[in-house]
Amino acid sequence: MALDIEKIKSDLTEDLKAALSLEALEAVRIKYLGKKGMLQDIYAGLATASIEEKKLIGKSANEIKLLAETLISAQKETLGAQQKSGDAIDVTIPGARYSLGTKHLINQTVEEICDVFECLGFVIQRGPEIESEFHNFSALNIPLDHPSRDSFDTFYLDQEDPDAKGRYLLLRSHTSPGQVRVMKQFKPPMAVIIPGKVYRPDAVDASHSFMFHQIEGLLVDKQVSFADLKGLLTAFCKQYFGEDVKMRFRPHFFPFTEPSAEVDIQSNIFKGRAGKWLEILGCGMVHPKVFESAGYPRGEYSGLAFGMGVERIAMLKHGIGDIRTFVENDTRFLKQF
Amino acid sequence: MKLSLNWLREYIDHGLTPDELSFRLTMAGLEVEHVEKIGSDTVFEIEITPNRPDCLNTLGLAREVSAITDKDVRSPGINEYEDTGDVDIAVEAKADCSRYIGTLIEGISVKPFPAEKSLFLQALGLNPISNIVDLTNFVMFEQGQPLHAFDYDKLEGGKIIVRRAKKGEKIITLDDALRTLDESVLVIADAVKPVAIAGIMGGRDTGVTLSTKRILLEAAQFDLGLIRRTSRKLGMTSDSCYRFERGVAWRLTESSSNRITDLVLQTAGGVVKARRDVVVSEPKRQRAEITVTAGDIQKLLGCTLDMGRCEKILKRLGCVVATGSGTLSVISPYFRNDIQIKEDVIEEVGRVIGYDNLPMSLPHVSAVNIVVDQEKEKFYERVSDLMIASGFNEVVLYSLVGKSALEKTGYQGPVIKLQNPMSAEQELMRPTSLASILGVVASNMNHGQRDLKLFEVGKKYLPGGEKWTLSIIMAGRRDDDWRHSKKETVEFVDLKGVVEEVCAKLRVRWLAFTPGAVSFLEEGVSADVFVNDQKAGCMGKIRSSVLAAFEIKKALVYFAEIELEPLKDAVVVRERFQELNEFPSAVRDISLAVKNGSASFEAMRALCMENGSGLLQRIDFVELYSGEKIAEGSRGYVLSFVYQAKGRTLTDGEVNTLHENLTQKLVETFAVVRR
Repeated sequence: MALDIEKIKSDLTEDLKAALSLEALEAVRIKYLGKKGMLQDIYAGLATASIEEKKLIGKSANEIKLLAETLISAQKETLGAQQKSGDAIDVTIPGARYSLGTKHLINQTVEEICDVFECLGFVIQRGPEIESEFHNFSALNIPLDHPSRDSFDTFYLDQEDPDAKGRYLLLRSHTSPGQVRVMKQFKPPMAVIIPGKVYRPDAVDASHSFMFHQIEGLLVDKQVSFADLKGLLTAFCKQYFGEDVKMRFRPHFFPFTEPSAEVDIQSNIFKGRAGKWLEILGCGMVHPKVFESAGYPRGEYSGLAFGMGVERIAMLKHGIGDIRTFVENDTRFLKQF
Repeated sequence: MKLSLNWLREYIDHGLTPDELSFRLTMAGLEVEHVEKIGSDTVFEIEITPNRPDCLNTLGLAREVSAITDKDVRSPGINEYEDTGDVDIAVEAKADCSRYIGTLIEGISVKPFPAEKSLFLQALGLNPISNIVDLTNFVMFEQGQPLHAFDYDKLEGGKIIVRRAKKGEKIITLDDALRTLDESVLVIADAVKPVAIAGIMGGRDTGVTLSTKRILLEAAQFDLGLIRRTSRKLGMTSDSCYRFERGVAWRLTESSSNRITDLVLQTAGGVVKARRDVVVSEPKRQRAEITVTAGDIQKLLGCTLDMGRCEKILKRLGCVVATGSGTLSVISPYFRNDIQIKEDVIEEVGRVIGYDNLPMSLPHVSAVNIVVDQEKEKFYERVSDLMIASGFNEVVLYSLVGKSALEKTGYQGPVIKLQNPMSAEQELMRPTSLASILGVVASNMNHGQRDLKLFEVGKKYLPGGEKWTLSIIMAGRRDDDWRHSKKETVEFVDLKGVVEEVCAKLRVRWLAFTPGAVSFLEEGVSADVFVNDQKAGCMGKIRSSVLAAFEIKKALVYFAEIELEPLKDAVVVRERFQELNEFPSAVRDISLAVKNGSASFEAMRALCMENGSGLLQRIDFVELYSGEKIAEGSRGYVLSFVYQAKGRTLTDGEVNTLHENLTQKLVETFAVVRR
């Protein structure tokens, strides 16, 4: 018995060509691979064949079987896809989205800024919002008769300062008291970044609030110079406001730093403010009196400090015109960022 | 401070264009905020920092320009006048007024001020009045000392008394306003009435007029804190007050008194009839020699500077400088109280050179001594991140709250008050975030945003401390994706689920919930939250009466407020790996009717776990139901018991027996009905 492989192959190809429906294809499958199909016949015929023939025919039969299976299944897929295309899903229907929440823009800004300094090796610390006059003023070389101590500029509480009889606790008017707290708690070298809420009795309008956020930075070591301050803040501004940011260090005055400066920048990310210098942070070298307040030996350490307002930066960066937007917490605003 | 460039040219030929000058002044710390062309003049509005009262006048700014440009200043020559002592001046308020110089000039003729000088004043925005009044302004803007001229013939008794006002005393000031005074206000008075509010504004009725023939010129030193407080209290300010608040140099009082006397005699004629300088107390001021070495400069600025250049700058600024080898010995000028230590001296040099012209370097940043457990330090951020992952929007709320808003929540506990609130809406430190967050809920709902998932990681403030707190709000639909259009509204278990899941992800252990009783939460739909047996907060459905008080209508709002410190303390910092059990578990469901109030799921769970022979791994809650099949006053619980042994496969019989035992125990202990 001989097997005309080529003939069977061409028959199969012809049959498949004609099988244009799944039913017709099934008929072809049965014809070749079914229980009473052609291949079964061939295998049955092998029983009476010689060993040589068995080998030869068996091999050919397997070859045909494999070919038939492959071709039929391929055609089945094609036909199936054609048939299904009529009721395929609309992939443009919106996904059933499970909404994630959002971080408030103020805290996003705080985190972004802190991230830059953390990458530079700074550690985040937090101080209390309810402060003593000592930490908020005296320790920072702000004299007793300084205007910022007036009740026009600082909120005082009805709580007496347990460490200073007759003096009252207050709401910190800046994050700088954190400097003294950190210095008292740790020994240099230190590099900390202190974010938090601060309070001043300002009437609320589009650009003022009685509560806002600041970020304070402090670096203390044996040999820190004004050049380091410039380098550090330049690195920060380039990282945060873009490589092409323009900066200037403008001499200023803070009682707790000497020398003191304000940093103005021009950045392309501030829409509509091109070519304008915008004050972005205050900074300086830690005043010897502040080290004295922290109990450090005179002349042993030097340090740099800086502080910035978070609302201002977020408003400039995102083009927000009214500071009240942040505390209104309209979910349309919250979900936008 | 306004600076007329034409006026400035009287004292210095700086050779700079207005743009260059503006830039140089700004970069030396005198920020030119605004530039205005007025006729042929250019006027700068300059921000003067509070440490630099010496720059609140044209000569002071000329000195700065001199240091910047290394050009000379031409100061006007000033005559000295003899102290005749026969002006009747009594300083009664000795603590408030340390010096009072009165100069009596007779035979003057009041007329318009010479045009040239008048233009300077007009450029600064001052209206011309008369030669005498304009001169007080002229000398103040030239020298920095505020001055006042009284019509001597209108001073009753020919007397000047510096005293505190009497309660209820009245004065009409130069701005035509009637002011009622009290003991906190320092006044200049004649024999019977106040004639000026000291340092702030003179009285209308004793001012100089066209018919004035004799004037008393006042040059004085007043306590700066007092002037500031009075100005704020009376809500009035003036160029004079602005300068007194910041401090006027002691010696300036005398020289300015002489300067105005010179100018009055020149422009209005007359003769000095009498002059008296009352010195109550001269401030002790040490002008110590400050030694600065090249090394000091290197250390502070991180670079070396040419010492010759430093010397030149300091001298231009008015310092007395002696040089040694690599050292400068500096005595600061009398008008610079802000130069006291070597850092101050180095700053002067640095700012005149310009900080942008100094080099920069990257610091070596080391925080090795600040050892913090990062896992704990980042806790608050993690809480916030997990809430965001759970679908919540973070809000930032005010820490201050009004009494009435707080009362709406029914809060009864202790509270911190502000001594000086700006308004009744911000007079307390919030002891709970509820009032603040309900304000946000109300305003969002007013905008039609009724499906709310909000949270805040903030603080609450109680006498004795401020506490980090997580506040959560849930209202409206539970799911917002379109497939769950059934619009199931939020329930207690949804809120609890968030708390449990967030705590689980924070690895907070020993979390427990017990029926709660808080004023603002509905009884029976609220729980106290415990961590490690310590109460950490509460959660539940906000009472409709509370919602109504905040004008939140037709909404169910759930709220949780949980202190974070106890949670932080309960964090398992280094979680141990638990071996995975490869043997199959067996699950048996049970359906129970539980009479309301007779048993809690937690009690049943605890009982079963205790008696589970170590084989009961956990009990899953499968379903909660009620309705016709369940007796009134009961709820149906479907529970799934999961059994598993270590190291072997449990047999059916074993599981069935144990499960039957546990079921029996539940029935006996809690009188639940098996269904």
